[in-house]
Amino acid sequence: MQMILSASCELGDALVNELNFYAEAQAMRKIDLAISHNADGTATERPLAIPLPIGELVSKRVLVMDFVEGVPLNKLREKMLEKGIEPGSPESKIAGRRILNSLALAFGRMIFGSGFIHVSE
Amino acid sequence: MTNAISKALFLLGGALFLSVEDVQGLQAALSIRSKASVVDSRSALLAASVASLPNTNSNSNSTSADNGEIEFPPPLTGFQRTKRAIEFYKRALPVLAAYKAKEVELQFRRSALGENIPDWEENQIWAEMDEWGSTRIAETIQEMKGFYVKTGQVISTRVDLFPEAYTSKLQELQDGLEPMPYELVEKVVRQELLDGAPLSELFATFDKEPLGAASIAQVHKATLLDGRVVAVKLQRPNVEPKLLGDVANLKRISKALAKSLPVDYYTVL
Repeated sequence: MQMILSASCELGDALVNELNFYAEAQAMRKIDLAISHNADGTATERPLAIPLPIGELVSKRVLVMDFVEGVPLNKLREKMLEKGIEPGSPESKIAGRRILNSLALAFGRMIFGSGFIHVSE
Repeated sequence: MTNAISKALFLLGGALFLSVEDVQGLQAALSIRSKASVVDSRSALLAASVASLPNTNSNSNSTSADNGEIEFPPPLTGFQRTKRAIEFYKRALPVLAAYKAKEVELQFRRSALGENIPDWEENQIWAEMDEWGSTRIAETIQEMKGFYVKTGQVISTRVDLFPEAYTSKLQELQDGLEPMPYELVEKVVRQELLDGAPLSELFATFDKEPLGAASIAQVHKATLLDGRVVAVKLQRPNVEPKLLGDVANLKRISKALAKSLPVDYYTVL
């Protein structure tokens, strides 16, 4: 009970931040910088595509950002089947490894490099 | 299992204490907004400084819109928050009570009537209860919106803690949300980004159908005048007061509970 309650209060605090799109725009830039730099601060290639806010087109309640084409992770299976990649086939294993590799690299840089972490769907 | 559900409902309501406390101070809450403003004076300021649009929020009986120019409703007053808490409990308590009654009934059949209830029968009884209860709770959350939706979403991801009927029904909250109508979308974007000027001053195209709609915001695909394809994320105008009010309720309940809990969680906040 206490655990649920305190977790929920924390969630509440996080939500208050979610209502402020200036904070979100800033977070997008921070995440982009986090994953495009090594822990020692040298620039490097991005393992993931991060949409960035567009210039001044940000208000507290409206945020204009790059449109990045992509497939939600939970639709990945269907999409791969569409392209003729069977689950469990060598191709799907390579794809899976590359996705995991990119994600691990991104989260590694966020956690051990910048210390600023994006955790959402 | 019953236990887990009562805990969740208790948490979702988050404000029985508040209702009692606030009924005493109802008059004060009615006459001044300061009570809610203390909770988040920043958003009160923001709400007061933005302009208005009609029909944004059918159930905000805001008393402060006297300049007729507030689009985003101000924070809920103590009275409104209390009303929300009461509304929730009015609908959630019968579910809780039904579970409790079932528990007592089973106990009675066992001990007083000496009945031997096999496991499968008991499981079936609880499954039926879950089916019924989860439908009612999901409906309630759907209508109340605000923080209840968020909490419902969190519950839906915890298949390890809650019965399947609940997690699957609440899962629908994740993506089955009614988007804002396009007229409202256009007004919000024009006001927030364009000072009221038409969308065509900024966008070459603007999709009327959203790419997705969630409890706080929805996203539309659009093209800028220079040809760049963008995603426009915009907040629902009536979500902020409800959400902040619910979170404030939750904090008050954990503060009130702090004395009866082994660890003082409120200080952690």
